[in-house]
Parts: sequence; C-alpha cells; structure tokens
Amino acid sequence: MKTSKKVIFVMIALVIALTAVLAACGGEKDIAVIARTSGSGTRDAFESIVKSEDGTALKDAGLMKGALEQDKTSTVISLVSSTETGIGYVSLGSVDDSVKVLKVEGVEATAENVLSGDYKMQRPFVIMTSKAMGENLTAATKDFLAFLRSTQAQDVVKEEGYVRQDEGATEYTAPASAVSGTVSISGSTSVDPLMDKLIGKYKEIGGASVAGVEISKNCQGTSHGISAVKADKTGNVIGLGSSAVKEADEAEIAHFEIALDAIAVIVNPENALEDITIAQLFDIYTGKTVKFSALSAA
Amino acid sequence: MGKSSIKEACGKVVFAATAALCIAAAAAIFVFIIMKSIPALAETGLANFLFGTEWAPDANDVYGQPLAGSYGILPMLVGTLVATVCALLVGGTLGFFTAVFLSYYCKGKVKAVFTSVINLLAGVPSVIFGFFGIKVVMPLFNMLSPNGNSSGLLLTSVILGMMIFPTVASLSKTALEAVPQAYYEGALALGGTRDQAVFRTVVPAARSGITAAMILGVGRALGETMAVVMVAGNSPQFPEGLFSSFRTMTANIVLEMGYAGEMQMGALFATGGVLLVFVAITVILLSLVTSDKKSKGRGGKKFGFSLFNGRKICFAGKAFSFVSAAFALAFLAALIIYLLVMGLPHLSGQLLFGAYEYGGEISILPSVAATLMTVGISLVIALPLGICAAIFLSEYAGSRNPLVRIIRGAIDVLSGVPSIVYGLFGAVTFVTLLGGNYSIAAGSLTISVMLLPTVIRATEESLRAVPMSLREGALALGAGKLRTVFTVVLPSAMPGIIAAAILSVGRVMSESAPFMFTMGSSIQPMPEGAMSGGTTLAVLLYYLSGENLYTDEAYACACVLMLIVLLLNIAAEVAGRALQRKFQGEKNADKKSKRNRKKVLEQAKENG
Repeated sequence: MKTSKKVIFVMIALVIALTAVLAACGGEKDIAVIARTSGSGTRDAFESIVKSEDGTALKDAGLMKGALEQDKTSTVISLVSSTETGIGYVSLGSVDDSVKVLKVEGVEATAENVLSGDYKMQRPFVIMTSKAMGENLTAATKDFLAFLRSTQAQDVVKEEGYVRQDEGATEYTAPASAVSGTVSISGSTSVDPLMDKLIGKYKEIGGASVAGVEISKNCQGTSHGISAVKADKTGNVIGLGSSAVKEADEAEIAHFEIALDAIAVIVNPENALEDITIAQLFDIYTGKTVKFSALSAA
Repeated sequence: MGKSSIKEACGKVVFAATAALCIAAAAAIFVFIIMKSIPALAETGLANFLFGTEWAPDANDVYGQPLAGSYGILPMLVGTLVATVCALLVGGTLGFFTAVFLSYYCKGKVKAVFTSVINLLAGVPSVIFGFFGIKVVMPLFNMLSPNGNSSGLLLTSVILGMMIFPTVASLSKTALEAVPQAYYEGALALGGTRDQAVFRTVVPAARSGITAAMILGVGRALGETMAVVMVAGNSPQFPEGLFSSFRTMTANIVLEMGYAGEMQMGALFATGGVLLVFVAITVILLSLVTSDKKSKGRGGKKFGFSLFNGRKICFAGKAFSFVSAAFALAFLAALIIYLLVMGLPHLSGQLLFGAYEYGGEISILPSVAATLMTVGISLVIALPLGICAAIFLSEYAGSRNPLVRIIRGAIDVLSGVPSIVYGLFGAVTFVTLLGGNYSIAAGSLTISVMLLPTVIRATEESLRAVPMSLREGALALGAGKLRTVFTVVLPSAMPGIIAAAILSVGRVMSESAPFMFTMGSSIQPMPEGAMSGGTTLAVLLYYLSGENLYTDEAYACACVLMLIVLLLNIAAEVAGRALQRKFQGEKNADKKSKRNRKKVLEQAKENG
C-alpha cells in the first residue's frame, strides 16, 4: 500500500507541474470558429446573409477547413461559453447568460431592430403544408392551421421572445362542433420549442371541441419537414422551416411565416469585443482572420 | 431412455436455433445497409467514395443526375480509425489494469465498491459523457490548444476511452476470475512473487477473455455517436494533430441524416456500410490473433504479455493497476458531483411527478414509464435468447466446429454495429412490421438485437468459468446434459449472468441513437401501452438540451437517470447474492476450504 501511495503522489505532482508549465505559456490564441452542420436552417440563413465586401456570400466562398461543426444550438452555446476565443451563431431565443451577444454593424439584436429591418441577421420561421392536398387537408389540420394564423398564436410568438408576423392574423375561435383526428408535425428543431407552446395554447383555447385532435410532433430538421410535406398523402402533415422556402419548392409547398427570428452572433463573456461587421464575420468564417486582435486593429 | 434422448435433442436444437438467430440478425443488418447504399455507390463509384478526400454533400442531388456535391469519406474513415485506436489506448489500458486490481489486489468492501463503480459508469448515458466533456474536461485542455478550443482528437480519445473503460474492465475481470485458482497458487509455489503470479501466469491464461473484452470495447468506440459529436469538432477533414477538429463516420450519419436529400441519404447509408465492413475486419483480425496463439499452446512467452517479466516490471504493473482504479473512482466521483450540483437544485415535484401537456411545464414521468417499459421488454427478449445462445456456444458446440466460428464472428460483428445503424435498421424493419408508427415495442425490439452480443459474451465467459469437474460430477451421477446445464452449470454461473443483465440495463438506459428513429425523440405524454410512442430518459435528455432552453431540466433529468441506474445496480446485486445463496448450498463449505488454503499460503509466504 505504501508504495502505491508514493506512486499516486508522484502522479499528482506531475499533473500540477504540467499545469503550471502550460499556464505559464501565454500568447494570444487563434479564434475558435464554431458553425452548425450543413443542412441546418440556421447555417443556411447565416451563410446566405454573411457576405464579403465585394458581395460574395459565405455560402459560395465555403466555410473554412477546421471550423467546429455542431448539430445542435445547445452545443454551440456550450462551446462558446467554455472557449475564451470562441465565436458562434444561434437563434436569439435560445441565448442564455453563459455567452455574450455581439452587435452586428452597430445594431443590437432585439425584437424592434429585427422588425424594423435594422438588424440584418434574421430569418423567418415558416409553416408549410402540401399544395397538392390543397383543400383536402383534414378538418383537424385545417383547424390547427387556423389557430396558427391567429392573433392568439402571435401572442405566444411574442411571449416566447420571437418577432411577431401579424399580417393577415385573425382571431381564432374554437369550432362549433367538435373536431378530431391526428395532425403530424415535423421539421426544424429551431421552431420546435415555439411549437410546443403553440400546441399548449391551442389545446387551452380550443377546450373540449379540440380534445379529439391528437398532435404528434417529431422534429429532425427543416429539410426533413420539407420532404414530409411533399410526401403527404393523408392531408394531415404540417412542416416547420427555419429559413425561407426555396423557389424550387414553391410549386409543391404552401406556406406562411409565423415569426421572425434573429440569428445572434455570440462570443465568450471574457471577450472584450462588442460589435462586429458582416464583412468581418465573412473573414472569420472563411479563415482569413485568425485572431480577435486583428479585428480591433483594423 | 427414448423420451429423454428426444428431450435432449430438442434442447440442443433450441439452443442451436437461438445461436443461429444471431447470425440471421447480423445478416439482416448487412443486407439492409448494403441494399440502401448500392445506388449511391453506383453514382460516385466505390473508389471515389472511399478515397475521395472531400465531403461536401448537396441536399438537392438525386440519383441519375449529375452530382453537385462531393462525397468522399477518406478523412472520416481515417478519423474513425485514429480515434478508436486512441480511445482503446486510454480505455483499454485503464480497464485492463483496473480489472487486475479488482481481481487480485483488493477484496471485501473495496472490491464491492469498485465493482459498483464500474457498473454505474457503464450506465452513464453518452449525452452526459459529452456534456461532461464539454463543461469539465474541455476547459482543462483548452489552454493546451493553439486556438483555445480543445475539441478534437485528444478530448475525443479521453471521453471515448472513459466510455469503453467499464466494458473492458468488467469483462476482463470476469475473464481473470475464470482462471483456476490453482494457476495462481502454482506460480506462488514455484517461488514467484504475487505480482509475478498475476502478470505472468493469470493474465496470459485469461488472454482470450481479455481480448474479447477489448473487441467489445473497440465495438463501443466505433459505434459511439452522441458523445463524439459533442467533442470531436466535426469538420470533415483529416485529424492533423491532437487538437485538430475531425469527424467520425458515425458522427457523419447522425449529423446529416435529419437534413439529407436522396443522394446524401444513400451516401450516409454507404458510410454505415463502410463502418460495418470496418467492424467485420477488426473482428476477424482480432479473432485470428487469438486463435493463432491458442494453437501454439499455453507455454512460452506471449506477445504483449511478455512485457511483464521481471519482478520490478510486475511490481510496476501492480502500481499502475492501483493508479487506474483510483483514476476510475475519481472520474466517477467528479461526474456524479458535477451532475448533482447541476441537477439537484432543479428537481421539483412538477418535473418528477407532474402530468405533461404540450406547452406546459416539463415532466419526466412519461419518460420514466417509457424507459422502464423498454428495459422490461428488451430484457425479456434479449436475456433468454442470449443465455440460450451462450449455452449452445459453451456447452454444446465444439470449438473447432466451423459453424460455431461463424456464430462467434456474427456475435462479435453485432457487438460492433454502431447504435445509430441499429436505429436505422429498426426504423425500416420493426417500425414497418408494427404498422409504421413509432412505438415502444419497436424501440424495445431494436435495442434487444443490440443487447444480444453483450449478454452472450458475458454469459459465455461465466459459463466457461464453471469448473469442468462440476459438469463431470453431475453427468457421472446420471443426470442428462440438459439437467446438468440447468441445475448445475447455470446456477454456478449466475453471478456472471447477473452482471450481463446489469450491463444490459445500463446499455438500454444510456443509448439514445437507436430510439430516435424507432420510438420518437420529442417530449411525449404518458405512454398508453407498448404500441404507443415514447421517449426514454436518455433521449429526453438529448431533446431537452437540444435548444438550450431546458438545460437545467436536462441536468435534473440526468440526475434522475443516474439514480435509477444506481438503484438498479443495488437491486441486481441483492438479487444476485440471494440467488447465489439459494443455489449454492455447498458454497459455505467451499469458502471455508478456500480461506484455509489462503491462510496456509500466506503463512508459507511469510516463512519464505
């Protein structure tokens, strides 16, 4: 036992010594660039908005090699909060205290600035249904869609910290005779938390007349929602999107915007940076700028 | 006589049939993955797919039209290989030495505590390992990294290593304890030190079991997805250094599956196919290595173990086994303290027992119910099948029988099939069979197939540990083979079988990938039966942490998950002890004689 204790002490001493040596070697670290994986609605929107000074979109220039790619908003936030030199982008509704939100082009990411269009980094949340099914959607689906277009739904949108899209919203009243059936929801993970609240509100307002409406929800990504809507044969599929519907899909998909969401650019709270330009973001995400000090120097 | 021989024959057929079922399952997974990946491979060409160095898929690509994206997986293939080797270096080494510590350098309470520690670690969900990696280990490593972030090879190896560690330790321990006591005593009698007896005699004798443990460890490392996704960095490039961001093949599948278009989907299936081939090759290589040694006989130096020769080196081995065990304990303590500190303050009545409605406050009650149902159903399916297959392999099959070698191979391959691939397999087979809806039944069937190799391997090892003389005795007293198996061999092997059951429960608890495509992955109301959808606790945890709105609830959920695993462990241990007492009336006598022997030995040592 005695010798084993010695060994343990030696190990501990080594670890402490190593830590001390490493702590001593300072110098400014490179920027840790954090992105979402390709196919994410958030990445799609971010890479379309971020452009170089001569107008090349990040989407066409391509993300730098060696960027950290995450499949979830939460891991982007975790990484930025644990990395002093980290930078990332997430839905504004998901940001918490562990990270700092940067101003973009001097404009703060707030609901007002998103609505006025001053804050450039924004994208719509879209509700999609099959165009081919048209009027043949089930009664339950139609009723739920009517709620989604309502002013009550917009109140939920505002409560949850997103920007409301009031245009064409009408007041929802529960149907006179009870409706029943299954509604199947799939699509964007970014819209998912908002949808949870919306379903809750729907059940609350609809009361007994919508008690027979069973809503099943499974969100795996915007593209997943698009393909589910295209494949809809039963008239009860609703898709959720977190970027504008592409022209190629217009022929098959009927859609409306339920909310606007800001994409927040986040850094570690230790970072002194407060403001960033879109061109600077382009340089960082293409790998041209590798140190934060280069930004303040310019 | 005629009647009993029919019974014997039936028994043999049943055991053989369950073993054959394992081949069928392995074959089905292969067929399914290959069928799904052929169109994509035809599109890119096998060589371009395997050796292409750029992965930049385009979701709009469809079969039969010019491709806009590029689909080369070489960087991810290399990344997977390197990460697995590094993880095995960390987890295999720690696991092996901890097993030595457990089997030979501790006893009584210390041993009991360490055994529970290892079982508990096996039940920690991948998602938790990932989060622990990001929140605790990553900041420690960050100062080493040139860009201030340590996502990448080193971090992945450490986290992955800690994840395979319980598998390796637990199975190596079973193998070490299966070595007859006489080997150890013989080595001491020949004048060896205790350390030499352990490292030069016992360890080489247990090497086939230890290799099996390593194979399962490699399988787990290759198949791990969720934790790797969180710590690897995930850029589809070659791992260029300890801190370089890289992507594994499993990560590639889980990252892009939700978004994939037609061609991309095919390419992801093909990635799964490559992963399967990879697993099969590893398994075949390792089994060749072990069988090669066996043919040379037990004497002489063995590669790998010849390191432990001199007294001092054996002593160093002992010292390292202490360090490994201490490290395992420290790691688990850090993990638990972290979970408790983060989770306990957020445990509330509503979270634990409240009803859940969409948009309402979160409750984990429906998930607890769904998890327990899944555990129950999958154990009822996997344990009997697994035990029967193990009985066939250990009691009926001659080790030279080529069919048996195929079955063993199939089992090893099954153990290496990545959990995400099981999930996809389950989604197409079980979900379709059960009417196309996500259901607890489909999830349970999927995870059952996944549990089989663990159950079979662990049970087989413990069956082999039952001394031949017990079987011979029973047969000599006129018992038939079936009777011998059920009344003599199985009861003696009970502790090992219980270990297998615990490992299985831990696996069901901690997996998330196989359930996402078979049971559903969002918050769901209370399940109404096996045919309704459900979300296990681990999947709920993954979901809750998904959009960063529910991180506190996620930690609370993780806390509950750990507590359930802990309770299950205690229950299983109590049950194991009760069973042992019931079945082994002769045990006390045996213990006494063992104790006497030990006393004599120790006296002899003091004298010498």
